[in-house]
Amino acid sequence: RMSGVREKALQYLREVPRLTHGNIRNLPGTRTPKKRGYGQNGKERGWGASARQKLHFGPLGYESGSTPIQRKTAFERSYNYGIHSVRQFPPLSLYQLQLAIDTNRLDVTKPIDMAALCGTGVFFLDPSKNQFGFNLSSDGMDLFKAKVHLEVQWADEQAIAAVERNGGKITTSYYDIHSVIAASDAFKFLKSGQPIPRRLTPPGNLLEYYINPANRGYLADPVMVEKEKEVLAQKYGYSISDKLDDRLLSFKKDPRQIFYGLEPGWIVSVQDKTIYKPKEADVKQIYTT
Amino acid sequence: LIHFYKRSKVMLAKARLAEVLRRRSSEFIKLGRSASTLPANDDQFDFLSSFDIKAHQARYGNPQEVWVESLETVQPNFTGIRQLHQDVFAVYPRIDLIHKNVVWQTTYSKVNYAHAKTVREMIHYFGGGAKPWPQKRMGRARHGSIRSPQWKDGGKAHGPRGPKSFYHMIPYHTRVFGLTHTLTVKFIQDDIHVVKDLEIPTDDPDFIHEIISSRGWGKSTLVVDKDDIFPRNITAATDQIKHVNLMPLYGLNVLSMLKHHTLILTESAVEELTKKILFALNRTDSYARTGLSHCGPKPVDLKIEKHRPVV
Repeated sequence: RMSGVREKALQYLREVPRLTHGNIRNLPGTRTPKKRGYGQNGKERGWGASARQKLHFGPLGYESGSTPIQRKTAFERSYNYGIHSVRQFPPLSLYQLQLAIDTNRLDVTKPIDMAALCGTGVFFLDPSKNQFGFNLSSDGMDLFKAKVHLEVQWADEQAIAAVERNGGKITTSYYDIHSVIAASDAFKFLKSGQPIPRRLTPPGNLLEYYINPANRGYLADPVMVEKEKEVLAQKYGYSISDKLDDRLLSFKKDPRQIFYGLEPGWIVSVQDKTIYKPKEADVKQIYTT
Repeated sequence: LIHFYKRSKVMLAKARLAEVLRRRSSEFIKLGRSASTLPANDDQFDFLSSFDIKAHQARYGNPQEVWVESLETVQPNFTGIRQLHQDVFAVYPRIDLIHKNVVWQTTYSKVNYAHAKTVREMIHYFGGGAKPWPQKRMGRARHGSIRSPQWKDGGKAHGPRGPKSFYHMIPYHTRVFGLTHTLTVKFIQDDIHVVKDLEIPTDDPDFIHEIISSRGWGKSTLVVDKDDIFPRNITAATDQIKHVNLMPLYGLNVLSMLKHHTLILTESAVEELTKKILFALNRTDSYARTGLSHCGPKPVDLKIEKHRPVV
């Protein structure tokens, strides 16, 4: 028999009487006595009624109960000043990714994008907190062994190198907030009956990042991206020997596309197993350009 | 003064309570997606039916083993051995989770109907709004009405006010753990017996009494099968015996398991129970499911006009 805390606890249970409604209880400290009023010590709460009783003044800065000015006014800005206006890319480490693949949360035979990552149920994006996607960090790059077709929203150089060393493919692409709302909880979005939106182009201060082939941006020139791959391989000292299957390489996402296989403008009804596509030319044009 | 008391506060309180119960009790009346009208095998969001139990076989530790018995004979009759999943039948026992579940089961449907009338309510029903005698020159204490709290048959100042419901829901996973921990305790204390099926040779209640005494089962027995239609003989035999109760799997709960000394599970019940609990422990939509317990089911909102995305 294995020894451990669990085994010891179960062995103890074998020796005590049968557990019934009458011999179970909650953890000690769960029941706290109800605090009642001040009783006869109420009204002035120790601050006295007459001049003779009011002979103590409280701590420095005390203003007879109201919040003192030195607490109301702060010297510094709040710690998270401006957080509502900052675009966030919460980190996703290579270690987490490898763990999810090893525990069958992610399927390596299919492309991995934001919808797939959020669909595992272990990686979360909250658009209300200005979270615009995942930032692939290099934590666990030495352990990373999987060959993946990956699409994230931000990636640092070493993470890109770790993915490409195993023969995988990585792209960074921009999802505006409505696209994040759609992709981060795909089932919820599909149930709401909205047509799939088209992804917007990155804003000014992010355009440089996604046009840069060194970041494997989706708006970069593919030829330059191949060159940068070789440069990175030389920098970190590995050779790209085996590549992804043709089947996986065929998965390409249009810059306006959120989900693989679904185009903007379509309405998907999962319950009825039907897709409704727009017929009018001007509507089609809006969604496809 | 009198028209002010015409509004009946007790009726208002009762209407308020009814509304609260109707809103909050929708949780345990219909769990699940409110937009789903299709049967379970057509429902795309029914994740339990597509759950693959083979991916959740216990990989570490010693598997728990239990005898599989037969009820054909009075004498103990073992036909085989079955392995039980550790995450269901051998967890580290938490008595406080069992306690939480028992308290919830006993109090969620409790309503305290105590209601003490205030001064105004007493006046409304029994009169006495007028000043009983003039303020001065009577030689008596000064009073405004004969229904104030200090009077006999007067109103109560700070009494219980109206029907009070103790309805509350404990979180989804607390309820799942309640089942697993109680099953663990029952199993480790040798109070679980797994049977092949519930076929017995006669419908005589004495047969049941003899089985219980010969096999050393406890004073009360809970028999659980997967479906809610039981074989004829056992239904007839246990009908008159108040301490032997038949229950389908969907009725399994912590309080019943603690009240009954012995728990008899059929093999099909064990399989279905293991599958359902492993699904509950490993589901990827836990966030949405706990929200459902907390806030109740939300109707699917078509947001086409309200939330038009930027095109």
